[in-house]
Amino acid sequence: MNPTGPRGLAANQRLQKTIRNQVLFTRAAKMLGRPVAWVTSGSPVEILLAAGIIPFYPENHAAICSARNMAADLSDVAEAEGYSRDLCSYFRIDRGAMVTQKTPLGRMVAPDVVLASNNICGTVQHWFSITARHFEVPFWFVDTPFTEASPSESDVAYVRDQLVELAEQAGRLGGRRVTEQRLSRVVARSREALVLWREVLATAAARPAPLTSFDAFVHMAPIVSMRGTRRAVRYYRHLLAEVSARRTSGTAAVPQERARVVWDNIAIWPAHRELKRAFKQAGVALVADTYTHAWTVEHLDPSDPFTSLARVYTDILLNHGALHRHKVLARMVREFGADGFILHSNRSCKRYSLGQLGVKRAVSDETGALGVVIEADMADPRAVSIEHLMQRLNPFFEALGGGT
Amino acid sequence: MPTRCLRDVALDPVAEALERAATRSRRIGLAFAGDFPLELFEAFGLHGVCLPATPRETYPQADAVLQAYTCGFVRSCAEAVLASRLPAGLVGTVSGCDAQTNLPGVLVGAGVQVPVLNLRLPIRVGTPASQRQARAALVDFCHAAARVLGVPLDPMALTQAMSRYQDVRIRLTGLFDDLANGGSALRAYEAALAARVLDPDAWMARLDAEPASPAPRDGVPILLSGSVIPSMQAVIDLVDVGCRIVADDTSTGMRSARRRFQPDPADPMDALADSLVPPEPRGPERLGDPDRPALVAMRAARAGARAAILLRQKFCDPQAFEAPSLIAALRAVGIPAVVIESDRLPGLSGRDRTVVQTLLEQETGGAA
Ligand code: SF4
Ligand code: SF4
Repeated sequence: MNPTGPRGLAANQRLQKTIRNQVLFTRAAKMLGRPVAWVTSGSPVEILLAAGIIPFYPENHAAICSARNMAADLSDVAEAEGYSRDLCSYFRIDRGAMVTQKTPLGRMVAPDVVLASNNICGTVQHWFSITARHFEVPFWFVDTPFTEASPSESDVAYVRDQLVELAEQAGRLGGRRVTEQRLSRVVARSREALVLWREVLATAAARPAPLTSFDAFVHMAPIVSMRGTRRAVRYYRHLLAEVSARRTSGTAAVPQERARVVWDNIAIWPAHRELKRAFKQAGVALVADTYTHAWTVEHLDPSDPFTSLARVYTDILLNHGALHRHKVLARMVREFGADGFILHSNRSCKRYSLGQLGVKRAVSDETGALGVVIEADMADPRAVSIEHLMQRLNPFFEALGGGT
Repeated sequence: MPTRCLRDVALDPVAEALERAATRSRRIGLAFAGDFPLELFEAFGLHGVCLPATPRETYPQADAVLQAYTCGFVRSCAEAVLASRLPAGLVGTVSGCDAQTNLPGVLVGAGVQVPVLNLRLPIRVGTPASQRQARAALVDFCHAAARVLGVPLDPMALTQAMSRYQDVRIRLTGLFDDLANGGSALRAYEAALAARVLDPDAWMARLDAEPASPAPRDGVPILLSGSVIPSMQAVIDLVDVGCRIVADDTSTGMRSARRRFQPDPADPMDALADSLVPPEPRGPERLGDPDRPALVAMRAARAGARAAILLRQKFCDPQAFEAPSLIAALRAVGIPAVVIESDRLPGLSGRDRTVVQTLLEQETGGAA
């Protein structure tokens, strides 16, 4: 048992290198004539990869801009164009970057096509069509019916038909026909990465937790932006080996872990470091979250790639309502042995946040765990106040038996 | 009990809905979104009511379950259900923007007793696949409604309701089209708001019986656009400050009134589905091929509008995304636009009046 052992993950450096390589690869591929698609995080990228199209993720890019303190300036540009500050900050940041070409990645790679799916929110249908108009490139859209329950067979058929059409369009643009065989190879890689990622996250069920969601928020980058590639599989094999070893040795991500909590919603990037530090000081381990766990679906089936992609991309967390999200959160509280849960009411993301007040009550009633709602924004520092967050969190930590 | 005139119904739709439910002792099928087909409620023996937003500063019950960054329209819908002001037998919602899409889960999570069913219309419109999906969504909705209400859908009642509501929409389209030729905006909007709560036959009878108030001859011709129209009072106030509304692009107005299906359809569900996902998206919350801002601007220019007022619901994402391109498209055809928020007061605030007056003065060189 090593409750105060090495805290930071060694994989952090590897992550930086993996992301850097991905950026370089995208740039080089574009220079060599490979088409680039700007895609939403919930896009069925397997089809693009099978067609030889390189995906780029504006949401990730916006999160990186936020982490590098560029969010406010870039948002200002979008707001000056007339886009309301009430709109999703990822959009405003990305719009600012698009217009100014300012990016922490050195240079933006312009898209040849834009692909969005409304399985994560309605915002992206507007954001990505604005992007397509800006670059004067085609806009592809996969409409995934929202559902409280599991998708119906007609939902799956509707989405599958669109994916088949998408495969034809992508094949024409990428110059490589998307056969079932080719697609199933990519799907198999996606599935492998998803399973590895799930196993990584599952290690946090151990006491003490060998990693926390603060680590997971960062290490989810490859599953969002590289799934379907060998690079993602390699990366998560490595990460799993490291966190498994930490679990075996009893290495704690939070020394003297006194309480365990679960998180709902996207991370608060402008306060990421401060919150990580505050949790650690309070002895509170953030052991799971609904955000990173959204990329742990199992039922991708390489033997039936189109139908299983249709099912998986329709069935993701944000394509369900508050009742489903309550069940997911309650399950996580139980599976990870959490004493409490935190609902990040994220003013940027209405799809994720509306309904949380009811979810709080329902999860508390069902699990007996203590819940707290904190108001912030995932990326806009002007809507995040550390003092305000800590005013909510400190009494919560104390009530859980944590605190300094 | 004397019947209310259209204006009074438009000014207080809840009172009319309550009275209607009481006099005919039938429960209400309650919807909020302009694209919910009230015909479905009638097919289950309910009174179809599509309650317009009731602009207010706060919604005590809704604000306990919805964050402050929820649009006033959805908060107003939630308040109507949570406060149980109407004897609803079924609440029907429609998937669309994120706020509306979340509404059923919020209501059920808040423990409302009345069943809440979501009509899961596709976001993409105008394709054969979206037509099939809309049909499947209608069929799913009807199965669920039959289950929770314990009565089967009455196909005859559905066909009749479809035709009666279509007649209403045709008349409404005529009233709005007529705005460009000197028709009265007060008449068009009071009729549109009243159509949401009155039985189609009662609505027709009142429309035919009541003489329209004459349209003002002067005033600056404007386009009125917005995801909802705020209230009858706001339209009265706009006319009062000197607006002559000649073109409409509001959800309660033309966006809803333009819905059509072929008469005497072989399959009513097919026809309803067709009417719900036409190629031209009726509002920015759906995705179709034609460029909506350019179309709206072109219609406004054709109607002779010289300025535009975009009524904004704070925290309305679809509208906030569309606003810059709509303003640009209007500017490209020589129509300046202002955005005013319309979700807190029944009428225009003093500040909004000044903003509108300034716009009108610009257009008349100070003579408005
Ligand atoms: S943060 Fe929310 S609203 Fe913004 S793109 Fe992501 S899912 Fe959509
Ligand atoms: S379209 Fe706008 S006003 Fe209507 S429900 Fe959605 S957010 Fe609210």
